[in-house]
Amino acid sequence: MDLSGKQARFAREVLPHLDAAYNLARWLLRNPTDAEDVAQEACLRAFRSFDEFRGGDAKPWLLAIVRNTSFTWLARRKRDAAAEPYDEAIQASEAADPANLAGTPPTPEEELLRADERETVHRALAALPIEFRETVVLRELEGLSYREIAAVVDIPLGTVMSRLARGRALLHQALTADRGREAQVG
Amino acid sequence: MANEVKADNGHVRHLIDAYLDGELSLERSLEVEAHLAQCALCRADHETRRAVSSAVKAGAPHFAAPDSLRKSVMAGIAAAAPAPVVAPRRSRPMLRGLALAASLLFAVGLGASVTSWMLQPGESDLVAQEVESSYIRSLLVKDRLIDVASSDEHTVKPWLNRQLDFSPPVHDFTEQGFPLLGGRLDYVASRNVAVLVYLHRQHIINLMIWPDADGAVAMPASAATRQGHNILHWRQGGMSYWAISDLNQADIAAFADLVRAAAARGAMGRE
Repeated sequence: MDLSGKQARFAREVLPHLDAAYNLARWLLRNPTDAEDVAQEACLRAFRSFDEFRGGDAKPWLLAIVRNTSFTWLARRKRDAAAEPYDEAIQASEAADPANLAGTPPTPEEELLRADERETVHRALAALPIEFRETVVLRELEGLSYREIAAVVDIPLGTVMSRLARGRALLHQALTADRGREAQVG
Repeated sequence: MANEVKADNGHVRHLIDAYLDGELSLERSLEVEAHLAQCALCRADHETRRAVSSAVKAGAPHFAAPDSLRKSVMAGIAAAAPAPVVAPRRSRPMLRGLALAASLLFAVGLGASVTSWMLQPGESDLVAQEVESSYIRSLLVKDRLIDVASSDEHTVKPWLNRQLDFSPPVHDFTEQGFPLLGGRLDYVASRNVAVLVYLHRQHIINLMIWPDADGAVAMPASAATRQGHNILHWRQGGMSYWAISDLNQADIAAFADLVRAAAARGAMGRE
């Protein structure tokens, strides 16, 4: 058995998707510390079962493991802690922190123009029920195909389609409601 | 309101997301386009979905993995790698547990040497976890336990053959006190597997079977206990077998003996 070969192959095929793994965990758990722990646990699980990976694109394969690890974590957290309710306002406020974003930073103009809008979208997506949230994140942020989403979430294609439709309809509602509120205040 | 238009009457509302995401066949896409050209309601719907989709793409952050995560994953992999080849030295208590488990199984007549995967944490441990999850799910969720209900192996086997790309051995052991209840399909260890469901003294047994790449090499049974479930795993005739139940070890071992003997007879019968 060539262990260093397995490590190298894992680093080459799977680790490029570490951002995607963290991003999914982050959106499912809505908390940076938990997301880091879960992403790490999921990557180590992925490494241990790497021999079962049958080639092809490692991204959906890794994301399926991240998703399962996240749901286990959520179930545990739910059981353990009625003590610390999730504070959406605190979690959403970090949306505006550019240090959290991947990719090139926006220009100052873009920053000014879109800061509230970005925060509104962030808050609306973070508030979606988890089954719609995960589908929207996998589609819009990770660019997965319906077939890949079906494999990651372990649901039929038709359900992917209906969850995405419902998720977008709910987001639309939330975004237009938010705009209406701002208009009234302003 | 435009959004509330019904999906029928020739409207394409139910297809708009798939159209937007480029998931429709060419033929369907053309149909949707033709409809959008002449229907203002569906056009408005399409516009809304498109706007939401691009707002999320542009507005919702894609969180980048922090450096600390990258480092800890690399370190974890470096540390995890040697585990499968180097047997942990500090596992004396486990060895004793293993010896005990082995003698127990021998005592009830499982006629093969017994090893434990407790010594090799890793893949089979993960598979054992999945086997257990599948078993628990099948008991928790209504109608999940059995897809084809029959105590007749000549009903269950053809059904499984149709669903799978392999042909698992199916035997009923009613006379020996383990009646076959039926079978189902499940997804374990990243593949479709056959699950046979048996009953013994009001306890459900799941027997999961799938072809094993290493299956040419017969592997003697190994045993584990997870949260009150007893699991036996062995390889035989190119197949991987996992038996799980909340029965005691003696009963599940007796069951495994029946399965192994029947499979061995079946293999001889084919020759």
